[in-house]
Amino acid sequence: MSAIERSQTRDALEELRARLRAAQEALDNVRGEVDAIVVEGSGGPEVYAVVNADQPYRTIVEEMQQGALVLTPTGDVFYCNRGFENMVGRRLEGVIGLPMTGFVAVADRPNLETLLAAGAGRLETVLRAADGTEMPVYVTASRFGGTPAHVCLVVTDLTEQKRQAAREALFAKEQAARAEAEAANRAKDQFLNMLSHELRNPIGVILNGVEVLDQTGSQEGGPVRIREVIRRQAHHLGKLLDDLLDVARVGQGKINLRQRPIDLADVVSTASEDHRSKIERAGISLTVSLPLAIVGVEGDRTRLVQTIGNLLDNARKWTAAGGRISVSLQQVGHVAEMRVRDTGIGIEPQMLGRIFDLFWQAQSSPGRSAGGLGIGLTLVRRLVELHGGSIEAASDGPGWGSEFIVRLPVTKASVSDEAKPPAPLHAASQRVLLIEDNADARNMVSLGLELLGQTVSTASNGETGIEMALADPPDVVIVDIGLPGLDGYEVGRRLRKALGARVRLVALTGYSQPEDRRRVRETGFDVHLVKPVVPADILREMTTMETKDTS
Amino acid sequence: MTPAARKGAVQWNLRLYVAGQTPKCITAFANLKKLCEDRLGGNYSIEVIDLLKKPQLASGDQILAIPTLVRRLPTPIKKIIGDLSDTERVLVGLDLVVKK
Repeated sequence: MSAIERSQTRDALEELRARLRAAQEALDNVRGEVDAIVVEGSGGPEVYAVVNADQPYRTIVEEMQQGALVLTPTGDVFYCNRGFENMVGRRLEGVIGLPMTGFVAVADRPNLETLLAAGAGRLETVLRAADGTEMPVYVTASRFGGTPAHVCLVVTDLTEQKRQAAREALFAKEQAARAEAEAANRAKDQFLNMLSHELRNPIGVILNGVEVLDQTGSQEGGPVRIREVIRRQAHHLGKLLDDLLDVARVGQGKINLRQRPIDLADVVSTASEDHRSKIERAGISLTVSLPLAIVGVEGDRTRLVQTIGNLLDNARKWTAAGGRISVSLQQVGHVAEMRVRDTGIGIEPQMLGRIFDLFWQAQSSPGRSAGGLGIGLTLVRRLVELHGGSIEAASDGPGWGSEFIVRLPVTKASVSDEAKPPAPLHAASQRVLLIEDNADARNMVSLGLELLGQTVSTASNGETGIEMALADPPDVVIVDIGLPGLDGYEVGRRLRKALGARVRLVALTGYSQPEDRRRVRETGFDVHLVKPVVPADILREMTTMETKDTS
Repeated sequence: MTPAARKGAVQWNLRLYVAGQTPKCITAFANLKKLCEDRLGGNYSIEVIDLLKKPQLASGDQILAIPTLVRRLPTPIKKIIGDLSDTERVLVGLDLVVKK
């Protein structure tokens, strides 16, 4: 045997020994450290794994959505299920052997260490995935095995739960905000209501005073003109108040239209003539062109007059002296189309959509500001919409005038002529008792009625008024509802009870809400007048009452 | 410092043959990972081969039992069968300590 041959034999022996050692080792370990063997089959190697009795639990753990882990006593990951793999976006090989604390947000690490040291308990924390995304989780720990014990963790994804909680919180916040907004809105309505009441009273007094001066004061040019100015401005104030209140009420759906078939041409004519003098005084010409045929719409006459009036006011405000305003009405198919056109300052194209917004006014030209509250057009649109119609603004741009087009559906119902002439202002002298706490209002109304031929006595509070009425029953009692102490409702109730049907009861209020009207009617009043009123109005209503009586 | 580690930038290339996630395989992997971190200072790569998925790969390294660890680098190739829980035996098998 050569040296080379000996060496080869030695190597072969050495290799054989190594193989034997491996085989022996494998056999030794089958009992202890291995749980699968490889057998050479006809179709290649086949793997036989030892199926443990805990296989069903294993399957459950692998299939569950939650993460499940076994940690070594030192807190390293010993095993994790597929759920945890998915949560952290890593395969098992990338998880095993790493410290568990590396998988939670830095701030939460001390908490997790405390939990692991305790070996049992719960913790809400944030899991960090391989790509840096974070996931809110709930971790439950329990001890497992001997000493030192392994720790089992179950990790639950809280993302959806947190999202739900956030949604609920947002919803609650929105609800609170809405409730707050509604409360604020109610407060605003109450304030507007009170404001109108408080402002109507003085306006009424001013108008009454002017009326008295008309009868008793100087009839020379100067004083007459000044009275005219005062009257006009007071009416204007009253109208602003009315618009303000109307906008609020339309917004709340509190305006009830009293619609009936009416001739829109007649309404346009009335409203235009009402405004003619005001427009012409401003040096602007007004032309009205109406169709000869009746244009019937289902409308509330008062509200439509108000609508057209507001459009005319608007046109007048933004048109300089020398300009023109034209109103036209025509029926196009089943639509009544009314146009109010002016030669005024016009509207920027980008502003056309906004001019119907509340309190909006062209601010771009401060020099041309024409005052007003910026509510007229808002009210116009709301009233038109209440009538089932639409409104549109058009302009060729600044300096080229504006046009407003109102479209209302035409009705087929026959239009009745309901324009009522004002009742004649001569009435038989009646004995009137006026109960009003405001001295100015009391004096003006009584003076006005006396000038119209009535016999008036006055009381400044409810108790005195009732006493006087019982001692010497008058024909008519006019009661201010807003009396201090015994209020007007109570006074009316007691008078009706004591004097029966022979006395006429007139209520004066600053409120004109439907519920106020209902309350006044239920209390037993015959007539409800909303301030500001002038003595002529009161007398007209008193006369109407009588006419109704005798018919 | 162990003899092998002293060689400096020696890259360790290890293969662990497993059969799915049996308890012994998981134990073996956890033990191996810990040992590598402790003894090899990051200069290692572990390739896990699941023979349940690819049984034909058993032939290459002549795998008989699972789990089995194979040291591919540094040469010579070494094989250690079992879950590697006997650290002393593993260190000897990987030439990381001199056999007494």
